[in-house]
Amino acid sequence: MNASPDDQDVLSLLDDYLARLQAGEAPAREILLRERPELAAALNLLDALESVAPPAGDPLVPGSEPAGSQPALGELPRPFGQYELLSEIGRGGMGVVYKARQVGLDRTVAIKMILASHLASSEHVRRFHAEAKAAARVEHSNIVHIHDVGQIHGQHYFAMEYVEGESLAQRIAREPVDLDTAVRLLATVARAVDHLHQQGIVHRDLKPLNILLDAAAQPHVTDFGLAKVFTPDSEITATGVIAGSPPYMAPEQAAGRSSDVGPATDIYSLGAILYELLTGRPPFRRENPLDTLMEVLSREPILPRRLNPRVPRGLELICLKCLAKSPGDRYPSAGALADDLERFARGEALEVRPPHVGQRLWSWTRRQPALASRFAALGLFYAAFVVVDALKYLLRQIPPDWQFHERIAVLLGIWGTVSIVCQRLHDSQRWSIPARFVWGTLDSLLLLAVLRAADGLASPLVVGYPLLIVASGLWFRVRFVWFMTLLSLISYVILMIDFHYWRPELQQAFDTDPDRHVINLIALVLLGLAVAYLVHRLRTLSSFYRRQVP
Amino acid sequence: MGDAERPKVSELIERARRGDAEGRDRLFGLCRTYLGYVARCQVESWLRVKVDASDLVQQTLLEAHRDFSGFQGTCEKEWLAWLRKILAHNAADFVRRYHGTAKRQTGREVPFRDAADSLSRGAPEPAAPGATPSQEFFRLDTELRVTAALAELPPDYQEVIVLRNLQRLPFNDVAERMHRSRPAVQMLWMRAIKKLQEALGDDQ
Repeated sequence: MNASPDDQDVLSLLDDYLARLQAGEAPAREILLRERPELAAALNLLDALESVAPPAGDPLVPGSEPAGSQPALGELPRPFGQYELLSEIGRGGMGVVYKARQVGLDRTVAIKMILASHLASSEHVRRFHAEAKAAARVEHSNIVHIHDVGQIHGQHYFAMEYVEGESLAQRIAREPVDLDTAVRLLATVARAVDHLHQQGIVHRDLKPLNILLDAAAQPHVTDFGLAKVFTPDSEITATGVIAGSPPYMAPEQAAGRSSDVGPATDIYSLGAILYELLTGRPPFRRENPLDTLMEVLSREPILPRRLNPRVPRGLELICLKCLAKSPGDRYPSAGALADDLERFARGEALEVRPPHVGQRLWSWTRRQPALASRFAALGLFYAAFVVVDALKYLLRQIPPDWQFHERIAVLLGIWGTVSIVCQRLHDSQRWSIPARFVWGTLDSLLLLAVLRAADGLASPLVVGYPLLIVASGLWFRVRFVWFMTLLSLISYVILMIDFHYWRPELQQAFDTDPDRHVINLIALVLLGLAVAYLVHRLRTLSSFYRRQVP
Repeated sequence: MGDAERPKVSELIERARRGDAEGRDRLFGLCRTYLGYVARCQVESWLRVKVDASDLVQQTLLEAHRDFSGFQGTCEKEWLAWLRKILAHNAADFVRRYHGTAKRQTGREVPFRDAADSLSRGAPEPAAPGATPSQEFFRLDTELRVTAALAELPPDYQEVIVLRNLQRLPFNDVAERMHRSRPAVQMLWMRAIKKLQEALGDDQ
């Protein structure tokens, strides 16, 4: 059977068309037909055959599912071992959850199917079963009971108590939770978590989504202990599939120090949930997980009372104690947290003590690092300025220029005040991003004013510009780095005009050759480029991480 | 053959719903070939072994017959989707049973009569088709026409289309399954497509 060249041509065209069709892409039918109109009937035929072909892959049969698919796609209701799957309740990182009926016992259960990709090795499977069995031994009225763990047709699953109602996440999204309810809910949840801890189980993934509210608004904790199976020592961690939920994750968990993860980790998460109940948002939530993780690790949350003035001081203290960065500074147990919440509800004196001055200053700097670092920088420069002038007077009897001191002090005072205003603006969710640009612009204007008051380009304070560019990188926004670089360049050009035309007397400091300025300007551009590139790389890493954490 | 004797699927559904036994029999008869291909490809692509799907089709038609009053649609598209749904249930059962009873045999080519027999429970044929599919397909829409025409092709033409198009196997696998070289199955496929096109062609 010899094929003519044209047959070969047609074959490769049709084969290519079919391959695209089967891959689920839209083949370039129009383009193909413009060149070979005679193929229209053949293409129609391929289309028709494709619509006869059964849907690709099936979850019931292990190994046949295409990579990345969910474990179950089939029709509902359908039987699954001793259960009948009724409807899909939700999908999470671990797999799909179904509402199901247990046929023999005639009870409604929730069945969680574990994605095959999460149980890659037999070691994972063994640990999953061990953890789930440990979890199944827990009996508590506020903990979702696990009935059964197993495997049917290669599909690993566990069946648990079905709670009719909504999750706390849905409840919070629906309308604000009043304070009394918040305290009651959290105290109940803390008691349940304490019970888990007494059984030697750490939840590791406490969040509003994992707290279910039944018809009587009683909370039920679910999904506990299993996060551990999927975390340490494997390639699964490397892709960060189940690393917990950043906004509710304790710093030791966020930093990946799994040996430090213990009951205190859950207490942190309880604090984060309380924070959200009080203020309507978790303590740290940025649009991408990397920023969130950075904040979890190094920032203090905005005080709840600033976001919601009706939060009583005592409740704020309880919340902040749970959110302490160091596990040792939190409540010693979830039971102790529940005790304090109950004391608060009864109006009794609390166990928790307000922090002393040192702690408050320290936590203030972590809460508002941009402001604190500006204060520190301005203070340091001014102090150095005063000390140097004092030394000059003492050693060389040069009297200080009081007028100059006054002007600088006033400018730094204005700078400090402006920073406080900008920080306030930045704290409000809505103005957060514009505030950043306003702040940056004012920073560069004030630096320009200081330089105008001092010796302009002849002053060593010109180093302020590279500093501004480097500091702009701390916002992790490429665009902002460019913005600050541009402002620095403009300011430098203004100072050049100042140097050459407005105050020619400055030219005594050094020669008027342009090479000095050209080099400085190029250095600023290169610095901006380097910082922008660094930020870009960090963001690429961050978006990679975001793809992994749904 | 007059137009009255070559009705559309939607007309047959209408007739069957009115209680016209002949219309109903022809409706089911028309879809048998189509279901045969879908069933075979569904189960084979899951199990990756050769399967005799005729009992699966039988079971599906029986259930469709039994539950016909539950079918709400009117057009061919809805009708085929409904049949496929019933088929999907039965196919899943079939596969589940296969996994339960014959787990150790995966990979071997074995007939599944045993597993499938338990499905059919010895029930009678739903109906004898009133006219053969090949006589009827001229008036039918593409999916049924294509499968009816496919059934008329020589066996190796059918096989290559089933494997390449309906089971979406790459040519290398098709070649392996058919014990031929890759260029040979590609040529065979070309000719099969041409032939199928011709069979359908007069009407397009």
